[in-house]
Amino acid sequence: MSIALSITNFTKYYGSFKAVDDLCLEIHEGEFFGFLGPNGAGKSSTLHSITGLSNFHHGEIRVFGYDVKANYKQSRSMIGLAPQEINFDPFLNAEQILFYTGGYYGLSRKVAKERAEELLRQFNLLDSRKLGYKKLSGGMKRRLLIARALVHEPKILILDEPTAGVDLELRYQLWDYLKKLNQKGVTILLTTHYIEEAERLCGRIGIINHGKLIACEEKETLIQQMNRDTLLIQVRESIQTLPEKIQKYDVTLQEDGKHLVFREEKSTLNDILKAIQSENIFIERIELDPATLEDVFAHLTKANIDTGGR
Amino acid sequence: MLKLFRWGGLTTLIEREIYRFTNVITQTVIAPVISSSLFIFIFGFALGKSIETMGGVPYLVYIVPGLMALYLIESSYNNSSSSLFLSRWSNYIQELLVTPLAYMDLVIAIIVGCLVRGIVVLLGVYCVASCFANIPISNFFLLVYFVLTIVVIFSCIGIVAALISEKFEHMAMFSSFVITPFVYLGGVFTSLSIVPPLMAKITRMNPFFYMVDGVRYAMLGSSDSPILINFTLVTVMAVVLFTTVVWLFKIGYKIRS
Ligand SMILES: Nc1ncnc2c1ncn2[C@@H]1O[C@H](COP(=O)(O)OP(=O)(O)OP(=O)(O)O)[C@@H](O)[C@H]1O
Ligand SMILES: [Mg+2]
Repeated sequence: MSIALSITNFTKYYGSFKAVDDLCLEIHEGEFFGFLGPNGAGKSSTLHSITGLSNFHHGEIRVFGYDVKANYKQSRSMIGLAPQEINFDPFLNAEQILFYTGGYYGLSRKVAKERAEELLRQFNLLDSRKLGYKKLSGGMKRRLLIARALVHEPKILILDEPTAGVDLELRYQLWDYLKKLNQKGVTILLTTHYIEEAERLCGRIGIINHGKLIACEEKETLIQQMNRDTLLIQVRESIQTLPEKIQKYDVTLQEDGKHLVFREEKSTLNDILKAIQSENIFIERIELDPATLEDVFAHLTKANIDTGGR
Repeated sequence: MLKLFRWGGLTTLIEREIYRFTNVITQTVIAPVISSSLFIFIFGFALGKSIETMGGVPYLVYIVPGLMALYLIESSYNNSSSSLFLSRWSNYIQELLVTPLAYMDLVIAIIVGCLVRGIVVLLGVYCVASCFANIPISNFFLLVYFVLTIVVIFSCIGIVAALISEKFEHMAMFSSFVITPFVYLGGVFTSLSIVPPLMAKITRMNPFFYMVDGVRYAMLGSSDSPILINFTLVTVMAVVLFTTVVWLFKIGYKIRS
């Protein structure tokens, strides 16, 4: 499998402010990669440097081997970007936006027309084809943004928060669409704040915080590595103070005194139960919540704050 | 797989630029033609009767080349500055930046858009003027050359203004405090031979004068300043400005973060 995108030692400055710090990342052809991080982490800055919206002076970015600076024509023709911010041509309507974009990428008029038609249909925009973008609803604008990124049939689709402000139904439709697209072989790089979205769609996940890549693994590995499940134990009689044997675990006692929440590794499960029994506490109910990507994300980005990000 | 016709991308962008100004044609083409008709009527037809001749031709005929240069300058400046400023303002410029279009293509498309709009306006002015008098064109190729260079010069100035400006106001200010006074004082309405010496001296320091004068030479066959000087000056200005603008796009001044 070839490498669709390779980023080496990429550092992005805005003036003297370092937005992305020595990022190294490789994405293989056909991957569905999730690029996560809190607000201001440097996600968009990275995507903009890949696509030519930003200048950068440190590091190297290649798209299927083509340097995004030296061979920008080749690299850009292989990428489709649906940006975070709306940036449509204010003089054109939805149909023309797709058609002209096709032209900018070098499609013939005929092909561009066909692609525009097809995408309007796929994205359910046929009824609004004659509307300028200002007359489209938020969800329609998002759809048009993604449709526009696909006009020239890019090999890599880059989505910067494609489902921000999109209703549930449309989100599910988009997820379906993206999955199919990925199955057809399109490499997808997705940025989102809906961790669930990344969990459902992505194979590999990279997490960036304060400009630094702090994790980059298979989704399952990441979750396993976290290895911290949530164990909820309900007891019959409320507890006032936690016995010492129990206190040594990562545990919180809820206000009613009847619910104990442990966030511990699986291997300690047995010891925890033993400890509770030895204190003669009567257990009424046990619930085990396996770790989710959300937990991993919260854990990693929080840990990074604790150790002093920037 | 998609083919990489640079030409294809550029022609689409040119088409878009032309579509943009025809979309607001009353403002971009009809308005200047009407206001030039007013000039022609007042100065050339109504007032011109009392001035008789200037530079050896009827006054109406004398001012037409000047008016043509004036409207060419205004339409080029307005077209490129508003096109690019709106692109920046709406972030639409980003849509172009992610495509394989070269920065050179972006500049050329804007200039060609200005050229087309300028020619349409020029034809309008010429037709209106022709209703009142017989307007000569003594050297067609020279006229084409001056039209081309003037368009390049002023669309590039418009591009620079659109890049520098952060608000619409900035561009309007530049237009009314720089472009308009310089152009109107650039010998559109009068020959240097009839103005006071000081005024003539000031006019000669005004670069716009040489453009107006060049167009006048191409049409009437005579001018205040030697044609070679006019020719050289506009050529140098066009080359310098074009190179500057291409360089600004290349480094992404105000368009790439
Ligand atoms: N054009 C710019 N000029 C100066 N600073 C910028 C610019 N764009 C982004 N930044 C800064 O760079 C940092 C990273 O921004 P970026 O947009 O990459 O974050 P992000 O991860 O995409 O965040 P979000 O999830 O909020 O979109 C932020 O601190 C931001 O303020
Ligand atoms: Mg962002």
